[in-house]
Amino acid sequence: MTMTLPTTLGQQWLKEYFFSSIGASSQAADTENLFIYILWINIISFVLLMILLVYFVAKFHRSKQATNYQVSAAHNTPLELTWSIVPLLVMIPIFYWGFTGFADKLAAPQDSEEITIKGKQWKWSMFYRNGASPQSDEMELLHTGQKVTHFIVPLNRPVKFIMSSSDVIHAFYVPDFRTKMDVIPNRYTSMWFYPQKLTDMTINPITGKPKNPPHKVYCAEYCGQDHSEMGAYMSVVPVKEYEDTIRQWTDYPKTITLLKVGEAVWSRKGCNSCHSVDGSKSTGPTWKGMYGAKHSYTNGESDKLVDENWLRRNILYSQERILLHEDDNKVAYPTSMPIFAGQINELEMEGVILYIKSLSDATKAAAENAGKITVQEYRDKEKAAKEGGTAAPAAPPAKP
Amino acid sequence: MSAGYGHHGSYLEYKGGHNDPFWTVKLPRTIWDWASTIDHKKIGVMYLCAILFMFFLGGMMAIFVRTELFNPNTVTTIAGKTVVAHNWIGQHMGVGENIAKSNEYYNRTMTLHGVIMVFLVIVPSVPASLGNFLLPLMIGAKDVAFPRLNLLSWYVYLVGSIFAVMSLVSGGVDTGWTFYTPYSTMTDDGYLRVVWMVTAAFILGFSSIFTGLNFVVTVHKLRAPGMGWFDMPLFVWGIYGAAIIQVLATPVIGITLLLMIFERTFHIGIFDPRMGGDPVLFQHFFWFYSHPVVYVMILPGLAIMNEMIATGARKPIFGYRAVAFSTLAIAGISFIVWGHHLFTSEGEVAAVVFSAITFLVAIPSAVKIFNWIATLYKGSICLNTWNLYALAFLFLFSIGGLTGLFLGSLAVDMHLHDTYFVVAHFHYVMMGGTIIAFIGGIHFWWPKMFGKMYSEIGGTIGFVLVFIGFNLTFFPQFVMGSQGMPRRYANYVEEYHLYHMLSTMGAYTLLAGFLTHLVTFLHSLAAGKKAPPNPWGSLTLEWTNASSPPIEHNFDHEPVVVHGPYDYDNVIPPQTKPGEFVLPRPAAVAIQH
Repeated sequence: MTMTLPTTLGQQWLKEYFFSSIGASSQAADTENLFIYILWINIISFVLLMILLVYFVAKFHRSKQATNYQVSAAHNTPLELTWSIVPLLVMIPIFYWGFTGFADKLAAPQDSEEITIKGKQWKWSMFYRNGASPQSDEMELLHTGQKVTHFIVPLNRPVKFIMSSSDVIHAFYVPDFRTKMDVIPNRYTSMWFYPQKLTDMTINPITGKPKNPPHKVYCAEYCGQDHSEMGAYMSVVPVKEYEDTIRQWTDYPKTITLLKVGEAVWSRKGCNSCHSVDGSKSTGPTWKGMYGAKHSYTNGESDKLVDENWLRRNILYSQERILLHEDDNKVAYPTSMPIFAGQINELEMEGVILYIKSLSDATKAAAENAGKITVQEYRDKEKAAKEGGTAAPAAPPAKP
Repeated sequence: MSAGYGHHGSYLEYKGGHNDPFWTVKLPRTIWDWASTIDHKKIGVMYLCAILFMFFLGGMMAIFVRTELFNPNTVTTIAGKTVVAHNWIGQHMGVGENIAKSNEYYNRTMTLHGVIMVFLVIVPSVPASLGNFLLPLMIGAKDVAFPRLNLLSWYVYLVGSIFAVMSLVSGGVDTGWTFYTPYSTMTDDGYLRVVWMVTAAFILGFSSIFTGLNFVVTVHKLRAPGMGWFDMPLFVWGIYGAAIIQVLATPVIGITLLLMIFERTFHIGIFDPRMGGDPVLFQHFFWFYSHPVVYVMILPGLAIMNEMIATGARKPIFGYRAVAFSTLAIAGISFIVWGHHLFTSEGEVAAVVFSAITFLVAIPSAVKIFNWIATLYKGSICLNTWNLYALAFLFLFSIGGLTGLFLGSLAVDMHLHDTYFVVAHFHYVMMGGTIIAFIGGIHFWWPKMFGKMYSEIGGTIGFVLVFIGFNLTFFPQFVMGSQGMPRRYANYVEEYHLYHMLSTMGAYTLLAGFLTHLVTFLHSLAAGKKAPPNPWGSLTLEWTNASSPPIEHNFDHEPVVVHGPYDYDNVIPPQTKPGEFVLPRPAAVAIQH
């Protein structure tokens, strides 16, 4: 629900004074209006009470008791009922308005962009739906020079944070959106909002400050030593830029090698729950020695060699071929591997193929050599290929 | 009342011979007399001294906190070198370049301020000191119902304080006064100081229960002949309401703190999420006590207000019954609003119910304010120090109460929760309410307690400093809070700097005000004029029937109540100076309350 106030009451300067910024979403504007509404009730009640107080003290001061000190009623039921019921009536709309605003801040739309947020003493981490984490240049939040995460959310799209903590209780607080929620270990809490204003770092010539700087994020639940340094910056960017950026941000540091990326994929994407890398038995076939082996499948292929193309196809669409047991031609393993099409990016794919290759003795040396390239170098090549337009896509690793 | 000095001496008087040698007989005997006393007045005075000492200690912590926050820590890079400009703690605790260390000092100081002020000062403040001293006097009794239990509660308080001080000297704790799990069960692992501090709070709870139980029984059984429930001074009603909450709510915190100690020591997995426990459960348990206890803190403050306003205006309290019933209403409703401390915990739908009930509890509090202002109407209002405090209370408590509307409203609380707005709100209620009433009450009953008058000039100067200092300290915090400054921050961004500076200057002004009061009181004890039995012209029993200071057994004869506590329309208080008190109309038309 969005209520509005008469402009004479909801003046912009009042909001600017009490919030120091203009709310960045419609719910924030609703909260501001409610705040200003309560503020006026406060001011009117307080001024009335104090006028009476000061008037009585002046008029009935002891120095004037010869004339003004008189008997008056010691109680008056209608009056007392009035001043019990009127405040009650005044509070009903405040309660109701607060309730609708609360419900609005809690119930995220179905189509929200979901971002996972982890709180840990004393740092916030964000994970996007493709597994990416912010890697942009970090900014300073406090004078202490504390480096904090700078993450992005898309403009004009509902954004839902799904939050949990890995140690103590924190609270994710975005003052500009006028909302916060505790971040609790062992359970998920969520908050959402609808960003409607682009972050704009161009300098306003009048104030000398950025027109619309990134939103500050604080931890609002006391969490120990560096509680006051546990912040983040959040920028609102156009959807296109958002999509491009999170595609570029994977959660792999730029300095690690492609082989390491493959190893990380093995654990992060959950491959490790079915595929061992040391030859031990598990739910799925082990990766040790897989590359270069020949197998038969339910789709009729027999003695098919496991190579790069095979691996790529089977990771993306795992249900196409089901491995048959060598002895009895029956299905050898449960057919429960997820389909990874759309779940894994090119970097991860190349990394994991190299990693699997490195687990076969024959291809170990070649894979390790090819896997020396770092994520940074990989990105540079990718960028060069894109800009050059003519350059061929990253060359497939040489066959053994 | 000069008859009072006939065969009984003042309770403060030395009972031995006049020629006893000081060091060998007089001093040890005096100490023993006080340490073993079961006289509610002496116990009240001992509590008063202890609480004021703790108030000083907690206040100094607040001064450290404010000093620390005057400037933020800054790190700048000058010619490629990182230069740390520390705030106060950083400069004076020798932490060098280490900002984390300075944050840790801040966190410990902030926690100690909270723990000391809540558990050692404001919960026992009015009931244990003024309540102990005045409750029997006001209802015409010789003592409380269980005098020995009363002495025990004092010693339990002392033991609790010793545990708190042990924790303090061994490094203090950094959990915040709310001891939220799982932080409180993980921090300072391997040290006993958290356990000591929690044990202190646990033990202090028993002191609180003993006092509460004692008062409930005293009010029920020991009222003087002729004093019905609605002939009791409203101070007694307030203390009674608080005592009921103390007895019913304190066991819950006792159990909770015990569970927390077990969790820390034996890792039983009730609150620890790593073992399947629920950290939010602790918050529910904690606030199930700590919210009612907010009213243990404020009801006695409201109780003092009744006596000061009625005496200060020489009028019956307007709507006596409404005030009495609102006391009970507050005590009752206080048990079902704890959830409003958890609005942002998980976003539960139950928050809606708690929000509604929270608004409901505002009504009886508002009714009291209206009644007091109506009491002033056609009165004869004096501006003695204590009545200035009563009027200041109306000012500050109105702000404290009204700003509660922001926090009770769910959508706004999502923004304001755990910011400085909350800090300002509860300081306006707890300090602007309870402590202001407490300081006013000490001024009001000082002549009765110690038989000496104090300098009104000293008192007024102190009051002005406290009033200005208080508002300067806490009003900017409302603005900071609504602008988004989270609480319990050792450090902050530049945009809040001005407000923090104002707030810190206010804290120094407050300190100056309290020190002025201290000097005034010490001067009064050393050189104050002898107090008449009823210097303010009040009608409650402690003023009309007892001398200043009261004799050991309070009254020469058991008083018989012949008029109401605020029957200024019909009765001229005894010991009023000739011509000072004017009744402008015949007593026959007096209206009964």
